[in-house]
Amino acid sequence: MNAQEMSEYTVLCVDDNPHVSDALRSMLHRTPNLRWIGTLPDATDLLERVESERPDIVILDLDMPGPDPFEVLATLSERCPDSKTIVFTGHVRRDYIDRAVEAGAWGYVSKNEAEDRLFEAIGQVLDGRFAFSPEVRATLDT
Amino acid sequence: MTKPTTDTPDRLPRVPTREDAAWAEGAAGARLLGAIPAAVYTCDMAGRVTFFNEAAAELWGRRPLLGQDLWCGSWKIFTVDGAPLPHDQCPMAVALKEGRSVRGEEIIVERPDGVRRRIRPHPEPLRDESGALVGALNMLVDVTEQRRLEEAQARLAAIVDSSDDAIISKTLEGRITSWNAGAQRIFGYTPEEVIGRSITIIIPSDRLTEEQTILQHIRRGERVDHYETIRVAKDGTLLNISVTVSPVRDHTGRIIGASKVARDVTRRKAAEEALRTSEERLRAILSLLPAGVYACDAEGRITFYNRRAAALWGREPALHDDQERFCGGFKVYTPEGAYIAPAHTPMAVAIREGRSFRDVEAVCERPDGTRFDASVNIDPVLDTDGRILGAINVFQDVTEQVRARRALHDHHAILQQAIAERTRELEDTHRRLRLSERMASLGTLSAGLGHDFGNLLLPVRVSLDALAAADLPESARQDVERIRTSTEYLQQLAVGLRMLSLDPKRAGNPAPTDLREWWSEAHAIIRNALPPAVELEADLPDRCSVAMSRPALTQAVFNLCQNAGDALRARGRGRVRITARREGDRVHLTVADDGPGMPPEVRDHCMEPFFTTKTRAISTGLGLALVAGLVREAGGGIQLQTAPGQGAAFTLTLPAAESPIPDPDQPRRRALVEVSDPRIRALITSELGYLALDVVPESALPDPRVDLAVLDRPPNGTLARHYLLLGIEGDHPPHVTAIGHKPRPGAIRRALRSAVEQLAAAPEPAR
Repeated sequence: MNAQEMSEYTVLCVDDNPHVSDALRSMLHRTPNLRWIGTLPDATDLLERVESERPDIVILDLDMPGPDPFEVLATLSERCPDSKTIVFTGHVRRDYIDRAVEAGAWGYVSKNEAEDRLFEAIGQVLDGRFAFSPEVRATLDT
Repeated sequence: MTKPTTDTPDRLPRVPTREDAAWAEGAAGARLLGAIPAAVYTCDMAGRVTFFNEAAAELWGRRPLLGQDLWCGSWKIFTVDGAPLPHDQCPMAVALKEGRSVRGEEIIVERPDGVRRRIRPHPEPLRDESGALVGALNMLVDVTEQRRLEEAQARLAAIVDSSDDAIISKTLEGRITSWNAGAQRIFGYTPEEVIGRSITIIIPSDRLTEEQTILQHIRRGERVDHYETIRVAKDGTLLNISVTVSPVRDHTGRIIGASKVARDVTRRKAAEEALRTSEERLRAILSLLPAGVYACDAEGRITFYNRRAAALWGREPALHDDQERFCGGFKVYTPEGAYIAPAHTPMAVAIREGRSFRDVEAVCERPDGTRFDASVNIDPVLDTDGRILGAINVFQDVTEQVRARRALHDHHAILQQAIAERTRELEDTHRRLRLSERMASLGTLSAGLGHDFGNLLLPVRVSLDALAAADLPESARQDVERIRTSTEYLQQLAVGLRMLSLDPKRAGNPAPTDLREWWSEAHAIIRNALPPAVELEADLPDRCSVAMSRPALTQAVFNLCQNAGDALRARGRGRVRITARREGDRVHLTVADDGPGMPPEVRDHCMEPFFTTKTRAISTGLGLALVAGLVREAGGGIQLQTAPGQGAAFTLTLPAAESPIPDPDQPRRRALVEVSDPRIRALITSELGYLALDVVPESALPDPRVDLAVLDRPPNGTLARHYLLLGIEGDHPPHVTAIGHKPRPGAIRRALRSAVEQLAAAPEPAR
């Protein structure tokens, strides 16, 4: 593992929409320092996968079949606090944002915004900062 | 010869002789007969009048021809019954024919002038010495006056006898001289028991002096009229009597006694007393009545009123006064306030027409100008023949009832109005509910759309990015850019749609909305409200914020643009401009179109709920009303400028707000975040950055130059210990906000905002 490889951050994606997963994977491949380690169609095996692979970043959709993503998120952040979760969803609602933050999310990004917002958020979280995309911030203000 | 005496006819010689006749025929006799005041005449055997004196001629009213007139010198003779009596049947004729004296007969003689006299003739045969009848002498005594007196006396006696009153005569000494049947009935004594005795037998001992007083009056010739006193009956009963005593004079006018008419008024007195008692009782009752009561006579003069009436009138009118007629009140008005003259009051009508009135309402004014509402009941008073004697009026002060009734009426009206308003509100709410249901559906739809848009557009965008990075021919690159632009537009549409669907009322106290920021998100959806050929322009100033939530502003402007779009749709083309300018603490945001404008009748009603010029199928009619409601809730107002052919411009006047975007020229405040949980610390740091505070690193400690310290709430100990540890005491101690264990994000945001607001009130940032 060279120095560049050492500075790589791993990213696990949980989304039931394969188009989204594919797009993210495509983008991640083009982004230095970020490495795609896989995708899950729901949160059923998320805990197990995170515990085994310890990704730096988990990108989590909310509107998926399977277990309640908020509950999974709470367990995940408790057991694997080093794996930081960013919620990436088209549902931008204050109650969802608050529940996600309370459960342990480090960021909340709207799928309605440009995908650059997601990569900005990943950068901020890796830097130890919290991340709300502009639409999410606006929602919290109203 | 015996000289006939002349003092009375009865003493005429009963057996005249020839010498008598010769004497009578002689001059001396004739002179003598002619001088006596009684009428005398003689006839011979054949009945021829041979002599008459002047008194006879005067009585007859004519002078008969001596030797020719037969039997009598009268013009006509009648019996006392009025039947004609032939002269040859008159008493003189009878005396001559039968040769006897006729006595006790009375006849009526009529003179040529028609005057009749009642006569008692005394024909006496004249005989010669041999006893042979030679003629007769008749003395005619005029008894007309005597008979008239007798008849009058008889009538009087009959009256006296039949009178119910006691009629008593007495001497000046008080001795009873007559006592009629009435006196016997009243006092119980028969005439035989009392005549000749003193009148004092009927006078109670304690009133004996009265008799002296009465007699003194009588002696002076004075009459005592209707003197009411008490007398005593034979059986000892005391009687109330009314006495009239008059002097009795003899023919010379000398007072010789007294006549006394006494009437037993005991029963009348008792009746009067009973009536008086009854009236007093009635008056007492009427005085106590809580209602005003008064009575008028047939002329309308007030004959009675009780205390309550005077109290209500505020005056005490004079009784039986021609000037005080029909009403004792100062002035009377109809409930509507029209003056009623006394002669037109219900009381006057009742007296005039004999009508009753029930619960008539009137307004009565007192002399001091105060008024009261009166309820009036009137009944006419009729006698047994149905004649109107007057009327009684019972009236009450019903001011309070009238006031209550009016209040009730007003309340009823208010209630009805309130019900109508509530009904309108309900209808409004119902329509709004339907609208909000529609909006909720729209929200659900747009939320789903947003999600799907995100899911669908994300791969598109990513693919486009990949394509853009690839080495493509120029034409393909342009295609990619066009796709990317469309995709971005779709993305903005999704954001705008979501904002439109949010309930503006749930925004609470909204954060300031920067107009330019808002427009960057909202324009896509607002653009959709307009037909494609209509241009949409926005000219919004930089750093201009309003105190209205973004969804509310979006919904308001969306609706205004939708209206503008509808107005322009027929023409197909047009322009809508959105402009804003700040003026003091207000921001005027104008949405103007260059459409056909509105006629006045539309302009005046277009902001009322459910007013619409469109068909119901495409409009709720709530659009402009909804805008007005949203603006009102934000503390603003809405104005419309329009005229036919001149477009329409709606201006929302909204409270201005400080821009949430930090002014780069302003010095930033500094904060220290001492929170153990790195994620929470990161969250707080992110929030503070958003709130325009610089977060200083921990390495800066101890540094007193911070404005805000955000600390973990210590599980043990106090914040003071933190102060010591942090060494942040000084002249400008920072504001400290403590964050508890496992804080909720909403609570953190509120705590930080509150802290920053308090800092904003501080004079200047720490240095």
